[in-house]
Order: sequence, then structure tokens, then C-alpha cells
Amino acid sequence: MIFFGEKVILKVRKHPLVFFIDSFFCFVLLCAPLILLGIAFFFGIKIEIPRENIIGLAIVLAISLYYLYALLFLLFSFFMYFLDRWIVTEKHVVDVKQTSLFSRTVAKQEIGRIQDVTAEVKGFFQTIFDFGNVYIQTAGEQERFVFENVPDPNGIANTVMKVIDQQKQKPL
Amino acid sequence: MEFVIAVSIYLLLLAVWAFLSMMTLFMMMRYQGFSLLTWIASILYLLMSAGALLVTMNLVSRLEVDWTSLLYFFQASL
Repeated sequence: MIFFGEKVILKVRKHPLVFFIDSFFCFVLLCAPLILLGIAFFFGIKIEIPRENIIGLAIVLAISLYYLYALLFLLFSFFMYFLDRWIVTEKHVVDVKQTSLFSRTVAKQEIGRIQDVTAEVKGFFQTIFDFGNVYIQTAGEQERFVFENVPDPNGIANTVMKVIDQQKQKPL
Repeated sequence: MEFVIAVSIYLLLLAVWAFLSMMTLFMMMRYQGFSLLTWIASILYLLMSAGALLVTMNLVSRLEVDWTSLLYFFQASL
């Protein structure tokens, strides 16, 4: 992926808050039965699984599958968060995108071909928690690289600009 | 017969879950290597899954189910 001997300047992932927002649905799934049980207990409703017939077994097995799949969704959202990343080396910018379990795209662009770097912080949460997008305009086939929801986008844009300047100043 | 159908569906969905879990963990290890965060996430996931399965086994063992019919069915199908 990166040429041997290249110095890695920056490795970034999405802001951790993005993972928490994405996995919020899984947390709700995991907590919902417990909350419902709590409400039932509060109102004095006694919930009992029938022991003798098929319904009891079906309920236990369904709850088991429900929790196992909710945990799997949580693991999967972590997987998607963890494997999406961007790497800046002294000569290249690499965009690693995990689109599904068996689908992954790795795009690479030379630093020298970068034309413009833009940082964007938009909205309440992005402003408060300091994360946003960094757009890297290049002259290559994939015209624009987007570092999505990365922490400190202005800092990252400055770092990329510094690397470009250093690259330009190097003798050929 | 209902017990057989319920347990068969459960085992089938459990096999799908196990396959997807193992593939997700495998892909994570393959692309990210053995980093600390990968290890922590994998171990936590396996522990929580094992816990869920243990609780299921405990609850199922408390039910008064006629397991012999299930045993006979699987023996006959073999």
C-alpha cells in the first residue's frame, strides 16, 4: 500500500463520536429489553416464561438470537469505523475505505499532484467536538479525496499543506 | 415436532451468526494486524457472546422440555 521507506506523517480515522453515533442503534437494541423489564417491574407486572410448552423455549431462543445479533451489529459498526482510514506519507495520500465486510477500496495519490486542501467544520456537533471533513483536490483520476469526519480538520489540512511545501522545496 | 423446528431454526441462525462473527474478526485481524484495540474488541466481543450463550443454556436447562423427541429426530435423520 505504501512504498517501502516512505515516512508516514499522519494516520487518521473518523472521530470516535462518529462511532458512538453509528452504534447508538445497537446500544438501544441491547438496552431495550432491560428497560422494558424495568418498566414492567415498576408497574408491578410479573413476566414469567412458561416452562412446560414450546412457547417458553421459543422465547428463550429468540431472546438469545436477538442479543447475539445485536452484539454482531455492534462489532460490525466498530469494524466499519476501525478500517476506514487515511494515511499521509511524505510522498502520497492514501484513502482506505471499507464499504462492507468483503468490499474495500484503497486509493493513492501523489502529494505533488495535490492542487487544493480545504477543511470544513459544519454544524453544532462538529463545532463543539472539533471534527469535520478535509477535501483534497488532486489532478488524478479520483479528483477529490475526502477525509470524512476526522478530528481537528484544520490541523490535518495544515499538516498536508506543510508536506506539500516540503515536497516542493526538495531538489529534484 | 415443534421443538425440533424451533431448535433447528435456532441452530441455523446461530451458525449464520457464528460465520459472520468469525469473518468480521478475521477481516479485522487481516487488515489491521494484531493491534491492541483489535485484541480488546475481539476479546470483549467473544466474552459477551460466550456470556449470552451461557445464559441461554442456563435458561433452556430450566425449561421442562422433552429433549428425547429432539434426540430421536436427529438420530433418525442421521
